[in-house]
Amino acid sequence: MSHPRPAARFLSYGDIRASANHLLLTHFGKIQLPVDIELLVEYHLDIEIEFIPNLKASGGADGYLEPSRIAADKAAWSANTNRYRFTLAHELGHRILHPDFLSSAAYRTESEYLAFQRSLLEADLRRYEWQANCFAGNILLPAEPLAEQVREGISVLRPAGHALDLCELHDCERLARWIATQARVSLDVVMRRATEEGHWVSFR
Amino acid sequence: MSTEPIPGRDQPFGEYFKALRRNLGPMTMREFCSIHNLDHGNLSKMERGLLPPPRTTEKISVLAVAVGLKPETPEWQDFVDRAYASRGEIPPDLATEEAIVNRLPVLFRSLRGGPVTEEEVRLLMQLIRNS
Repeated sequence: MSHPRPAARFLSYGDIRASANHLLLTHFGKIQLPVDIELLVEYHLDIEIEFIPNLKASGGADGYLEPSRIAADKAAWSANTNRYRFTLAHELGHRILHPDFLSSAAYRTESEYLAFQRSLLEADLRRYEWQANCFAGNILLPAEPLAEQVREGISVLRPAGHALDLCELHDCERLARWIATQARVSLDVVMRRATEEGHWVSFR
Repeated sequence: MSTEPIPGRDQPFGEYFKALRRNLGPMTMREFCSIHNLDHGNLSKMERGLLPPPRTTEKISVLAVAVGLKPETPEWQDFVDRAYASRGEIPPDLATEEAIVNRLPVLFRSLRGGPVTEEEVRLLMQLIRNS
């Protein structure tokens, strides 16, 4: 099966951040953590979520996007809720940011989806995936609630007489773990988002 | 909360059910199924028209109550009738009425555009109303 190969257009971090914020504000008004991504996808945007047994185990994908549906690994939402939430947000990112990607794709099954992915230029695929990941991070952990969490986390975690030093990886991870629990995202998402938003230095 | 228009009787049962479910307010399918002890996969397939509604009035009633319909109301009866119609079946309360079943060929003939007398239609309607 041959597929057209849409070139991935450039989107800045600011574009993606604004897009995610706009979507949240449109549907939720005030943004509160944890962001109810399932409600956003299924109820507000009327995108069906279909749970596929053994999706991850059989094909290697946590989920994939069809025109009116997101297919997600059935085991993920109970076994690893944070990962499931990120998968929904990531696929939603494709839906919002890459309508050309969707309209050019004719896949109906996971194997056809994987074939479509393989047909894309590696650079395009990397850009698509980065953009969707960036969108997911911004949807699940938007800038303002993240800043509030950083402030609150510091006050909750501050040991007696010692402030957390956000130039130290150990202290940042400690704070990030606390935020991850509140926001129901992975530690990695918090570390990336807090670095992007300038709450601490990059440790990479 | 937005209210979705309820699909007409000529629309698929799954779409009708989905509109009723969504009109309950902001809730995911997973929450809905959890509250009413329903199977997510089956319900999702029913809404998409991949599975027919349940086979029995008892199970159809469970769905009707889940979307907020009160038993024995005209809306509840409409729900049950739509479910059976979607399965291509006659609701059991009508199917047990011998007089109605005997007159069904008149209805079928009418649907196929065959000649049906006004008296036959009147009689059939009366039987259904009195059932």
